[in-house]
Amino acid sequence: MVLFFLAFVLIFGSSNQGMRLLSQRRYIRQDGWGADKFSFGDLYGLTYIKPFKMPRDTSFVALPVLETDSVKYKMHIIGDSYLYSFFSMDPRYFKKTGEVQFVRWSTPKPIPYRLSKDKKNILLIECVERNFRNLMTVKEIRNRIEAQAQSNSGSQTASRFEFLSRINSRLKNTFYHPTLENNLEFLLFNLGIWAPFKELKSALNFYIFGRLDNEVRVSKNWKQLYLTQTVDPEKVGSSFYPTSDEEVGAYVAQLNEVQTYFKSKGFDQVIFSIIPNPVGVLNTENKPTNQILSRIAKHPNWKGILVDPSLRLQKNAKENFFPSDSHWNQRGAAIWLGQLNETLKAL
Amino acid sequence: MVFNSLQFLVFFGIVTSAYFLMAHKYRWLLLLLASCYFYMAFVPIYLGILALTIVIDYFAGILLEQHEGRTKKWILALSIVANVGVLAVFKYYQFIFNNISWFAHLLDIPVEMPVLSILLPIGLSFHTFQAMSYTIEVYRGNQKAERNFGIYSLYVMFYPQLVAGPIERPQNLIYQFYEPKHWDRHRVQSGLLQMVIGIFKKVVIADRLSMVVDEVYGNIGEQSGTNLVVAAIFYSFQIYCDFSGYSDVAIGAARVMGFRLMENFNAPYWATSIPEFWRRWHISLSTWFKDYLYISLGGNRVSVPRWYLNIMIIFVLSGLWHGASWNFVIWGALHGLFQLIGLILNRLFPFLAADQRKTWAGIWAYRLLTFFLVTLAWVFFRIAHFSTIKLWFSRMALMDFSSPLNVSMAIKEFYLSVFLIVGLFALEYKRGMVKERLETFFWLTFPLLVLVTYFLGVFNMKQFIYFQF
Repeated sequence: MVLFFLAFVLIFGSSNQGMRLLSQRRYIRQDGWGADKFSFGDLYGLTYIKPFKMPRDTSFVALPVLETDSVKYKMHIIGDSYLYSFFSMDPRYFKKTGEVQFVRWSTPKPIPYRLSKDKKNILLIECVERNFRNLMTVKEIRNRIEAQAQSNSGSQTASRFEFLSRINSRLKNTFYHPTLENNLEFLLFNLGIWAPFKELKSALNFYIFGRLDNEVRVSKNWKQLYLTQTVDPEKVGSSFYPTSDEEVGAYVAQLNEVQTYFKSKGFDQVIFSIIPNPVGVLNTENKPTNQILSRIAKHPNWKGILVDPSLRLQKNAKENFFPSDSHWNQRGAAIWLGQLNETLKAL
Repeated sequence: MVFNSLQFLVFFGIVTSAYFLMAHKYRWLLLLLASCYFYMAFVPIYLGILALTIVIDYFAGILLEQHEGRTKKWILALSIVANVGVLAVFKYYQFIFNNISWFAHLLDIPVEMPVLSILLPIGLSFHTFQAMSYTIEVYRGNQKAERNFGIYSLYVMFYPQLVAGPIERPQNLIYQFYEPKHWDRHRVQSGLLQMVIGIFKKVVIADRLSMVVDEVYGNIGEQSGTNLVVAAIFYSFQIYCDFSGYSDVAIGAARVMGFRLMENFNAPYWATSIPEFWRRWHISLSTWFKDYLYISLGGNRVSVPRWYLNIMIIFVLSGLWHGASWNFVIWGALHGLFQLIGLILNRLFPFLAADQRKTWAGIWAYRLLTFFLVTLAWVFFRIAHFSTIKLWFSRMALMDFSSPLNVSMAIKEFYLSVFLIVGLFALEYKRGMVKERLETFFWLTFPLLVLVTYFLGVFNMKQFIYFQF
């Protein structure tokens, strides 16, 4: 019995299709056999702090009512969970858009893109503030949407032991699923029946030892959970990380380079959208942020289009975010969409 | 895969269940395949390195039995050179050539060294020594050469002790692969209990103490004397719980299947002298060095200066075994030096010898002195760079012990950490009796230990410290 059960767990945990099927079914269930890691927010799923256990709306944002316009654009979007968790990538979300191709930052291989011959090709590059420094570079974007293989072209010389490295990767990918540990945790322990144990452990750590998961912090007003990397001033992605004007200039140059490169590859327009860290919008920590997004937009060398919803999200800010999740909620997402559509209208 | 992971839990469950369902004659094959799978989880192609040393030593063993005299010596030498050569390339290459470059630079000699960026194969130091143990024992006539290539491979690769020991002897292990093992409830319970105790030591104690240790050692320049002392003591117990915890899981996992591996620790911080500490700490390694190197160098059956030199050689090499870095060499040398000082003092003042202590106060004074010396040496083990070691000493020299402890760990958790250390220390002395009691009430103690480990464990998936060796 034990052997069969564990073998089943191992086989299932090593199968992407199996995991997808199982997680879909688990997340539908509301009982003890349903998954609870993201049902109440991803940050709750890391901490299991009971006061932050609030049901999270997982539906997509409703399609906006847009003026009838001639279809002009094909949208090529590279984005993260701020988009794919809230939008179904229906072209009707976006003004004047007839076609949408969406690629996640997490894609393991570059996805080939096809430029439309009869529509304007808009490249929308979106990510959250804590990640943009690393992700919004030519190299990283080419790792997601260019069909050609990377890394061995150009200035890099092939390693003498590259074939060994290839054999190693092939063996590893064949026998060891890259996310097996996470998958096993999901299979065995991402169940509502375990929640009381997790919440008790969390309460012990939090209320007696003053500790949470390393990745999560509680806001000063005790009403919001944040990712530590967005709050800790020593972390580069934090809204409080001291950023000099020189560094802002370097980021501007980096984004300008991306724009120039992809325009040279045939895109008619490149739009950047950097979603502010929730802590920067919610203003719970009573200290000034580094204002990096507005500093980029106002920089004299900035040549691009940046959709930064910070100001709009700040109005009734707490209605735009989940308290126990690192993302915005449907209202926040809809605000961003409105701002993006205004930008598309103005093109 | 690390022992404190779900992957290992599932792997162990599958392998052990299949093991008992399988006929005895196929079990070695199951274990060998499982061990290959276990090893390849780290870097798959490094199985090739392991296979190479296995092939070399397998044939060396057979040839050693078939030859005598100088030829026999040459075969042994070649086998050892092959094993040490693998270590030299993968573990010591950069260290050797960095030092050659530095020396050449001192003499103004231009030297160009190719940089070899190779990841150290996991457990290399352990399975290399275990393989050398085999050829040496065959050479000495204490072990018959193993003709079954699969069984010999399993001796080197047996997964519970493959990556961090205990370093076994062929006389202790090989014959066990031929013995049929039957399901024995008490033995299985004993093994499972030892595994849980090992995980408890790792995630409840070691990883908890590491929160303070990492914080303090991560910023030594800002630390008070109090912080440094507490971190040093915590590190002594962190490394003990980390390493002995691993050994417990390894020994327990093997015991579940019916294999008896040697115990690797015997309450080391109860030692009243440095020699005694080394009879209780990483026993498989210290006996390896004693049996294969120290005695071969003449041990203590030589002149006194040569005897002292032998001791220093062993400890310096032991330090180097731990890592290709001067801080490990110094750590080893310090232990050698402590031993020598002890020996010299005992010769000059025989009444000072540790075994002369008869009073409780005397025994405890020596125990605390030994702990102090060992903890001081651990500072060199923990800190990789000389500049940081110098900083540590300069901060300690300020004698700033008036400031209270100032770390981010909450005071209640700190008290818990101290309680765990004291409790471990006390229970270790009577560990045999404690374990017996735990086994008697297995159906109560096992689930209780699992629950306590879960609720108090610090699950940040920190790798075991000795994996890096």
